[in-house]
Amino acid sequence: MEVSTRVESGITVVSVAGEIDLYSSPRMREAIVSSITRKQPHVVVDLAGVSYMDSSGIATLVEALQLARKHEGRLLLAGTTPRVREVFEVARLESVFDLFDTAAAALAAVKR
Amino acid sequence: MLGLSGSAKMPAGRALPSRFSDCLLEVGDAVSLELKSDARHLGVVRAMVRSFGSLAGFDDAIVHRVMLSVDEGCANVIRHAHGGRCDGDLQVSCVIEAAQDGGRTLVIRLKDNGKAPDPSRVSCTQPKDPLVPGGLGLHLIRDAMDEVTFGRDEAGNNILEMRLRCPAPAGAARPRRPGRS
Repeated sequence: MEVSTRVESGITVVSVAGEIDLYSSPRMREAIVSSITRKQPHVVVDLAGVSYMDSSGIATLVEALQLARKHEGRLLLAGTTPRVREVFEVARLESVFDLFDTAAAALAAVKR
Repeated sequence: MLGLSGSAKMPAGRALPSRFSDCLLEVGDAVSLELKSDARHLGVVRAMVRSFGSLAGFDDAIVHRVMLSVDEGCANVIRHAHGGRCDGDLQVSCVIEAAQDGGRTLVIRLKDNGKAPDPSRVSCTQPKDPLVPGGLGLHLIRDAMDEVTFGRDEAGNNILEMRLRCPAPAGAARPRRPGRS
C-alpha cells in the first residue's frame, strides 16, 4: 500500500493506493490523524487507487471522521471503486461519509 | 513461516472460460495454507482464496466477498485469538464438498490454536451500529457466506467454518440461498 500527502489551499489530500488491510491500515491512519491534529482538520482521502479494503480500513476512516468533526473539520472520501463502495454499503456507512467521484470535486466542496 | 499445499487440478483438456462461469473444481479438490498469525501474510491468504474461488466458478464480485470474509476471519484470529502476537498458528483451507442435492459447496476453514472467541461476540447476528467500533468483520462474513459456524476440534483448536454454495452449471437453476429473499 502507498500513502502520499499533499496540501492544497490549506486542505490535506491523503492519496492511498493498493490494498488496505490489518497490516497496512495503520499507515493510512497515521497520515490522516497527523494532519487533523496538526490543525488542518479538513482532509480529503483519495481512494481511487485502492483495489481492496477490509474492516480495518473502514474502522480507520470512521475514527478519522469522528476526529475531524471533533476538530470542527470535515473528512471527505473521493474515488471509491465499486469493490470499496460495496464494503461501505454492507457496513451501512455509505450515507455517513461524504463521497465524491474525484479528489478535485471533494476539494471544491470543502472550499464552497 | 508459510506453508502451502493443495490438490486442486484443472480437468484435462478443458479450456479456462473467459468469465469463470463454470466450476472447474471437483468434489475433494482442496488447497491449504499454514502460516503464523502475522498480518503481513494476509495478502498471501487473499491470493489463494481469490484463485480458488475463481476456479470454483464464482464471479469476481462474489470472489471479492469470499476473499474479504476469509481476510476478516484471519484478522480476528490475529487480533483476538492470538492477541496481536505474530507467532501463533493459523491454517486456512479451502475445499469443494458435495452438497446434499448433488451440487457443490465451497467450504473454507480457519484453524488456530489461540484463545477461544467470546461466545457473545460470535453469536451476535444483529446489525451493528456502523459508527461503533468492533464487530464489522463478522458482519461482513455473515453477509457474504451461506453458513458460518464457530467451534473447537478435539485438540482444542478454534475452527471457523464458512460455507458457500458454488454456482450451478450453465443452464441449471440455482437453489435459493438459505435465509435470503
